[in-house]
Amino acid sequence: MKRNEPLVLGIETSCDETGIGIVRGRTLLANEIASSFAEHARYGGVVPEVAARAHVEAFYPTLDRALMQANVKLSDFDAIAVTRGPGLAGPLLVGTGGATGLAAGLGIPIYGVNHLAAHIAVDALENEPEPTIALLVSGGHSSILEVRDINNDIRELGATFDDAAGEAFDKIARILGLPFPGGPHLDRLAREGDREAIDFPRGLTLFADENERAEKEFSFSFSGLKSAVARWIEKNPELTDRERANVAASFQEAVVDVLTAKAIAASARTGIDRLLIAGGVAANSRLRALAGERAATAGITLAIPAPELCTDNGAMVAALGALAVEAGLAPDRLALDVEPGLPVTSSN
Amino acid sequence: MRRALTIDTSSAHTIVGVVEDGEIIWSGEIEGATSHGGALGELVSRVEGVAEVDHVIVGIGPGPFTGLRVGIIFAQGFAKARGIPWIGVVSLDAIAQSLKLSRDTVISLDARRKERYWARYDEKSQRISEISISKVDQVPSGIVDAFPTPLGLFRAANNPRSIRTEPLYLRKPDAALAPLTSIHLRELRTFDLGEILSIERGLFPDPWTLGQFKEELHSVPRSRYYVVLEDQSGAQPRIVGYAGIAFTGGGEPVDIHTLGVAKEFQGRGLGQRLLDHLIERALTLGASSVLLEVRDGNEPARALYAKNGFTEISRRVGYYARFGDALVMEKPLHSTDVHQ
Ligand SMILES: [Zn+2]
Repeated sequence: MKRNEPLVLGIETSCDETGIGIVRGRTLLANEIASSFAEHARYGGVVPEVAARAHVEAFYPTLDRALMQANVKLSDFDAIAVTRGPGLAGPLLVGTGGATGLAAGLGIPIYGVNHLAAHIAVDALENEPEPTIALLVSGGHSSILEVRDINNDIRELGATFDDAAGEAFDKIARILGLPFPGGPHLDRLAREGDREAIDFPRGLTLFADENERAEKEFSFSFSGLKSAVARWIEKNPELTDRERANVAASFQEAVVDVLTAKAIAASARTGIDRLLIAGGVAANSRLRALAGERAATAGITLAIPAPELCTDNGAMVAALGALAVEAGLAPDRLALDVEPGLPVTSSN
Repeated sequence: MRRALTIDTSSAHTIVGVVEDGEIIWSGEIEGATSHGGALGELVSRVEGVAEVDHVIVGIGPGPFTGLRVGIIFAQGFAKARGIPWIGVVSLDAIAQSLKLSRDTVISLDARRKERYWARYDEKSQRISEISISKVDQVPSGIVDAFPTPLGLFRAANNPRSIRTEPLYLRKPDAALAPLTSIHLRELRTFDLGEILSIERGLFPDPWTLGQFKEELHSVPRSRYYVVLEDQSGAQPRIVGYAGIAFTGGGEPVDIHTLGVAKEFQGRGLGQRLLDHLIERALTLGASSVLLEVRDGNEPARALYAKNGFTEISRRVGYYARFGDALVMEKPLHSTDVHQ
């Protein structure tokens, strides 16, 4: 660790995790998270109002834990990075409110960063992240990105037309009577099932002509799959445990098959032989296994950050902030506005 | 403590000032902010004399949640960064301290949804009532929609009665209180069962199982009709109530098989809305009457049905196993009900 590398505080509050991360250059010093998730479990989904309230309560206690973990003082920091979008407006405002208060008090620069770009930047803590194809899959996003320069050259090759992959997992888990959040529970159930038992549809994998292919080759759609699963369950109302596991495994296989096939194809199309998978769904065991197989066959280097760096966290925001400092980018003004619908192509 | 950074985000005005010993050093405001985030940063980046600030004063409401949170978390961050204390003050008190009152006066602020926050003050600007939220037409007349000045915030911080650390939301958070306009009625789908089961378990001592619900739904649309109420105010819609009937044919009674409203949504007329819909449906089906069973001890439900013209026609002793008797209630349907 070089002493002259910038010490950066990262703040992430775009959804239900209050994430505070600290990096010095490309070295991770702390990654503390508080989640309001137990409260959301009651509602079966994230409630923005509940999340915003929880962020206020968790913000400074989480910051204190991170400072202790990294063994640094607030006055040591060179810059603050904070997620300004995309995400839920109320929660985002809590993060930028706290971040600008700290930056004003410390008199240090602030960088408002893109949450999606941060998911990719976290890889810089372990690898040289560019250029890469990135498959971003979580409850909020499903997209394939071509990343030439994390600060100013991210292109979206495709995204989902309807549900995010993680959302589809949660909904199917709900039909199967699994608790919220459904993803991890479904992953576990699927391990007991036969993934070839039911041939569920693969969305957007067949194209009428080259025009349609060009338009949708790297896009996703999970709504057809979702209703196919719902219909199947309606037709088979008395599921045995075995059948339930088969539904979970076959559904999961349909999602993971499409995700990995398209990511590998994107790599072939762009000539970038590196694939990064990030976002909460990257923790899915079948996605990891199948991506590993297919990347090896195609001669592609596969990178999947540690699970705690894949889900929403502050370290990824700090990492992107440090890359911005490293690249000599101008900081933002204190008058930092949140942007709930920020597109990935603007990295800050 | 001599020099204060003062902040208030409880109204549509974002207010920032620096006050020393009761004298304004700098003040600025931006009007019409909805989120306050950018406006607060903008003002603080312009503020002068902030280097020697030794405490932060922030208005903690009453006011809209989002604005309050932004102001408070900003003030806390600034104070933490400097290692100086922060003080929360009641924003309404700060308004009173900003004005010269010559007699007892009510000060009130727009709380939206046809309500106002208000409190009463004496001629020395001391609060002499609780801080309340009331329907617009029930608020005593007085000064409306003023906002605190940096000086008023500073004075309030010197009055122990005005100091609070928790935000004054007054109203229950939106999460528990979606506007009724965001609650929509639609037919139940298999998809909904996970959510419905968790409501069911919170409501009834002898909840239906997934299997029981599925069995019921099996007979839709032949002899069952099930609906849900969905709250669409959040990022993801969620179910807050459900109800269903069984029917055989014209001229026969219709049976209400279930009706439930999630605990945190009760007391807002949603049970009535479901019941209205079911009765309307029964009328369309040409039913002679509507029948239902209710647990003897379920007082709120019994009251709802009694209010709607249901009368007790029999009692099934021990029907709910460990949970007591069932009352069978009936409401005869006459054609005149259509127009009630
Ligand atoms: Zn994310």
